[in-house]
Amino acid sequence: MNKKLLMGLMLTMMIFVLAACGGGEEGTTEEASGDETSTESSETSEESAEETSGDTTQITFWHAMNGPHQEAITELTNKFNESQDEYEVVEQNQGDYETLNQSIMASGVSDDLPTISQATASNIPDWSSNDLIIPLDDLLSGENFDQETYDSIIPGFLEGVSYEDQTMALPFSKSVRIMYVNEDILEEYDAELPTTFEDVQALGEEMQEAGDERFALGLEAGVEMELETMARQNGADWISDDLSTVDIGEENATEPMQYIVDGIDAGWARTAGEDGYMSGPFSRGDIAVYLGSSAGLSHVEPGAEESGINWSTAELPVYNEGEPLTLLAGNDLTVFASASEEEQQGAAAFMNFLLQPENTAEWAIASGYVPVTEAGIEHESYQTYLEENPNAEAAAAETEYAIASPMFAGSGEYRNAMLEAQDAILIDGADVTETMQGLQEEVTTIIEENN
Amino acid sequence: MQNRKTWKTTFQAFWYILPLFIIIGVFNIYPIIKSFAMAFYNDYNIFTGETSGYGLTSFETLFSDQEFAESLMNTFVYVLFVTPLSIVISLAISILLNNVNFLKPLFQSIYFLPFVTSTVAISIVWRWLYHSNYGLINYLLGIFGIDSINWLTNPDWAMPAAIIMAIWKSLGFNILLFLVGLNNISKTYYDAARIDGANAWQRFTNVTVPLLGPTIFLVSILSIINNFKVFDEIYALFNGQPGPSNSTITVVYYLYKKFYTEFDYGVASASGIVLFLIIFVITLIQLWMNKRFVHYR
Repeated sequence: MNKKLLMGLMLTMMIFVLAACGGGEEGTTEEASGDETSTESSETSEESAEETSGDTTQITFWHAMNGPHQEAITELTNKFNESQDEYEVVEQNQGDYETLNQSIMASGVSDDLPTISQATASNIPDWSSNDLIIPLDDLLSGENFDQETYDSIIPGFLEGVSYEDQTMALPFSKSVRIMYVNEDILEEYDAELPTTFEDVQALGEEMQEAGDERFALGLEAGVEMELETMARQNGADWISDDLSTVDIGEENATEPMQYIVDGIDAGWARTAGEDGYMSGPFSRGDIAVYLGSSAGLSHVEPGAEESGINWSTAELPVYNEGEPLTLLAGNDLTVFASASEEEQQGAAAFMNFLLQPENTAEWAIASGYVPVTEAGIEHESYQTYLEENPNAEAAAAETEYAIASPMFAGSGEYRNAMLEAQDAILIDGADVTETMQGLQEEVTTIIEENN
Repeated sequence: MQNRKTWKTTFQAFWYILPLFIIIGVFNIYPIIKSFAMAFYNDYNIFTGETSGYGLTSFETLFSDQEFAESLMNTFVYVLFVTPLSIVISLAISILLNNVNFLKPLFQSIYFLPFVTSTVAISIVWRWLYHSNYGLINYLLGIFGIDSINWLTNPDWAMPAAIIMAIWKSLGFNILLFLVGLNNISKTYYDAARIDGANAWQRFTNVTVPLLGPTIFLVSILSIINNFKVFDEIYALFNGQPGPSNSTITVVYYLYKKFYTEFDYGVASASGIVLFLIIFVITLIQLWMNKRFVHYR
């Protein structure tokens, strides 16, 4: 009995090994094969190779979009391929962002990079300093990219993709932080829509007095985005655009942190913690206002529908009578240096296509991000969408004052240090000013060492 | 098949193992050598392969890093709890299973399910079980009048939470191995013991345990190696974080963090080597104990 099992196992392993070797050979030597399906597939790939090797240039596009997002990308790509016959874009899903980054890292080493890829702000300095990606300034002012489109890109978005005074990426999927509001709770306490953090606190205290176990303010598990937003609203530079000033430990930044700590201690504020994302507790009806990404709309909707709460979205509240401000998140498109001149031109044409008003609007509608050009926001299809989906309005309105945090090498270390400091304060009860001052020193060193 | 050992037959055998050897060489052996080398580079640029020289700077950084000390400590705690508890519990369950022939395949499959399910899926379920307000575990504790525990957000309880989940997840595979071992123990030994008047406990300690020695040894080696490499469980259970306030950071998590979020390839490789050496030494000790204490028939 055991021997038979062993033989079976060995046989399976042999098959795997042989299959792997066979697959490698087929492509190069075109050996006659008994396996019909594999001959078929090699034939089709040959056909498509012939088709493209003629006049069209093939452009590979790596992304990390799944589900409905991927469908939307495929549709846009097909539309581009049909719209002209000079270039053919082949989009390839690489999994999630993390897998995409790992694929880029691996193919950067083996010199097998795509033409275009999605990228998050934390990757761009690293890729740029290793000369993996090229500055896009020439391409964007070249013949394949319309000046009109370029001028229409929302200024804050463009600033967000500049690194060391060069445009290293093109904004593509952009989200902002918005406020999700539980209308039922506001109505219960006869409260107006909060426009300042003081309003939120007042609501929280009122709820506490009434013995309400729900929370007035809900934040994500990592509060770094909200903290930076509040600090910047409060007049802090946080990390200045030229990286010369870091004032994370100064009063303007520690005040909002103290605000969060006090809220949590008093019991009217909470972070997502064990729930992972605040969209869960919010859609269960546990939270009056939840500050989160506008890209989270699609996560709030189904849950809120299930629990039957009345909810809406609004622009972020403001801290301490400051200016309204929100931070950008999301991802951009980068073009790799390993691509040929022709491929890079094709990349420019494709990016130009993606930023056309109807296309950036289509992408925004399908994905929940905001259009990256003003023309896209004003486009008829997006305006109709806003009318039908008033919850998307807040994000579109915030694009006016949305800004990006500066990109710098070592942002991974910065984020880790930030989260550690946050945990030290919120979980271990460390002193706010002391911890944030320590963080400021640490961040200053990280920036100095890496840039 | 009973060929004499000659160079010719060895050469023939070589062809049979060649395909697998190539695969292992490319995907296992080369990366191991490369990562060893990477640990000794200074200022390594992974994309160009350039380095400013060779040295021990990565190890110096590693050993002066408080966080690495914590991650080593946590890994040891994890291994020291998960391995013995998992072995004892799965041994007990497999002996029970071995004694009930009725429904045995059913229970065997039930216990084996966690092993074939993805860690991420399991972790999502356990996140709910551990939830402080909605979790089943706290509900059960509540019945006995115990206050609800913040399993996932309290740094003191995060490690126990990870350990409990890991033990549960590892049961299936260990039970499978123990059942094979138990099946190989001939009934005649038990009959002989009975004639000598041994009770159930005496039969267990004098017949089952010694004869199961090789299996226990195998299971303990596999578990220890596996548990030292813990990463998925932590990453998924705490939603991509190394526990509240870094409380469950392990060596592999540290390695991951250095490599993929801080691009510090040298330190990451160095931590991998340290882990390798630890596992290597422990395995050597186990092999020695195997020779000394485990009896093969």
